[in-house]
Amino acid sequence: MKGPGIDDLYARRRLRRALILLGLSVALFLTIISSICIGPVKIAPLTVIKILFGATHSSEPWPPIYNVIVLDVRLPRVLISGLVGAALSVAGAAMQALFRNPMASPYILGISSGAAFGASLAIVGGFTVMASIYSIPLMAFIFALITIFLVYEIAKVNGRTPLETLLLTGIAVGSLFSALVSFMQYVAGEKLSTIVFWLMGGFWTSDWDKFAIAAPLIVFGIIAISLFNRHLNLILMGEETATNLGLEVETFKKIILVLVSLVTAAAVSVCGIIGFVGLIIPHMMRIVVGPDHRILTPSSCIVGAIFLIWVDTLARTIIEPTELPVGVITALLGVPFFLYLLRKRKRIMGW
Amino acid sequence: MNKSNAKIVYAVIIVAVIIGSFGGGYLFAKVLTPETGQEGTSVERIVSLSAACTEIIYAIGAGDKLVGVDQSSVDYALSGNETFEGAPGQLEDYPVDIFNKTNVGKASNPNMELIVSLHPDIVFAWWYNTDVNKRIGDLGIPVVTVNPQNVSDVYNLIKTVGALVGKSVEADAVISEMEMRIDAIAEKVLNLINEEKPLVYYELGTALKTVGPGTFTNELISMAGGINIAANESVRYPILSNEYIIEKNPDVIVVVSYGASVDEIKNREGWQNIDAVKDDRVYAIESGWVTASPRLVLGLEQFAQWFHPELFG
Repeated sequence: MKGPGIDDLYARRRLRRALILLGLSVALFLTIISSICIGPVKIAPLTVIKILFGATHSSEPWPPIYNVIVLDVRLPRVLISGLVGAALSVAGAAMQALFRNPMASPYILGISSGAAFGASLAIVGGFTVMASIYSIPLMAFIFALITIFLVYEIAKVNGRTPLETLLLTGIAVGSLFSALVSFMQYVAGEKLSTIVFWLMGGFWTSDWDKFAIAAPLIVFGIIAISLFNRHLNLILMGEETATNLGLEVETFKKIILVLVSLVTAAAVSVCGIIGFVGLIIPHMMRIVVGPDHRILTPSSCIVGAIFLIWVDTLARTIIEPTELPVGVITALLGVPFFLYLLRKRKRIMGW
Repeated sequence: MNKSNAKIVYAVIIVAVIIGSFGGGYLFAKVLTPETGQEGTSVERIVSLSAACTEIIYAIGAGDKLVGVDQSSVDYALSGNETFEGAPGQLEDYPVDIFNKTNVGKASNPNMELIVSLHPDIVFAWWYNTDVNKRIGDLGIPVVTVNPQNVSDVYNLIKTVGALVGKSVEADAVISEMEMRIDAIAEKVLNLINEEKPLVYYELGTALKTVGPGTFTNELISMAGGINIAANESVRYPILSNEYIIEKNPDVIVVVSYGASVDEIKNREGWQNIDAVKDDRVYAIESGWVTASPRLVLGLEQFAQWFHPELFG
């Protein structure tokens, strides 16, 4: 038998994947730097880079306020939007594998509605578990986890959770929380706009505190999900096949649900409900790099971050000084590109 | 993947949640500059995220201290100079001068870096945008949150703003003019019995959405000698049912200027039988006249004229 041996093929594939991830990482780094240079206050890119690398204004020719704008306004905002993009994309990829359904997203089990209800309680009633300035993100986070727990417990039949039951329960519980959010909006009075803006999702109040809340959870969650990439590949073949190949499907499902809920809850709690990213980015990456989660998860993570950083940069600059809701632009930009990919590269997407 | 593995994963998750919940806030030092948030300095540069405050600042002659305003402050000027005529204070500059100020976007999601770049000594903002106000405060800029719920709150607000910008004399002058004009209306409607007061339905921007107890407009309606049909609802901004409004049969319908048109109200199914429609007493009120600012006097005088043409014709 002539031609390259199997080891050769594997080595070549590993190299290709390493190169893809390296290229994407460089792109992410450039995205972060260049988006911090963009904003309504015109600051020279060189100044921005000097500030980022620790130059103070004492000896430098720029106004001291530039340090505040770069380090305290733009930097946390860019980092948070990147984190959220990564979190939603990785969560979306895992959910699509778990449910073997292209329509699955991180919000499919009603987690966004639950978070929205928690946030609206904090916004309208000042209800919170501990009186602190973080009441809105904290309540959103807690209710997101309560939602997923409820859905899982209700869907459980004899210690098993059939996927169909899980999905339907998620839709039902999500609808219940949506109705409660509508009620909260009705009694909100002047706070109505706050709820509406929270529901649209946005990064305009990003600060270091929110970054410190979300970053550890999201980074931990993404790393943990990455440990199960092979298992995600298995589950794509169907639950029965995966069981025959030695996967403890029920335990695995539970772990993935917990991890996905963790990163999604952390993401939603700092920026509200940003739709679409978690649904489309994994599909895009599946078209480009294929359905194997060992490359799909990390590339979705990086591309999700790049995508959301650029979208948020557009949101805050398209019609300065007014900020557009970031969710509007995610769809406007993402849909045409996704459809183009879909038409252009009809590869098997693993469904 | 077995049971003990799963237990380890759970334990790690719980630890991560705990770290995530408490690790926030101590990792990063704030960047503060010596020129923001100094105590005891006089207020020379103001950013206003509340159109009512913007109007008060102009009315007491401190418009030159405004460096940034929100979108709704600009929207006020778009409804035309005539909506400022005859108002208490020095508002004649407002509709023109407001366009020279930096627009920092919507009050509910303003552009933070623009606000910072304007070096404000103080920011005036509505009380309800808590997350935005907290963020501005974190950036070292003093925020004054305002929450005027009735006319006497507005007087206090004008006093406060006047004291902050060194225009107390002008503030008092605006307040006395407002009091005088409001008293003139109050003494005429004081002795009216309820049968002589028109039933009023007031509509906001959303169809059938109205103002209930504890709202500004509700107070203005009763000060002008009208009875708000939603005065005893349990929600501050209730949505009434169509048939309830028809059954109540209000004598006057007022709709806010950015809401439904007068013609649309008149042509609603079943509303032809309402007295207000039959008698052609459906009016649109300028939205800048029914908010917590000196121009509420114009709104009140307009209401009084519509409710009691025989007294204020």
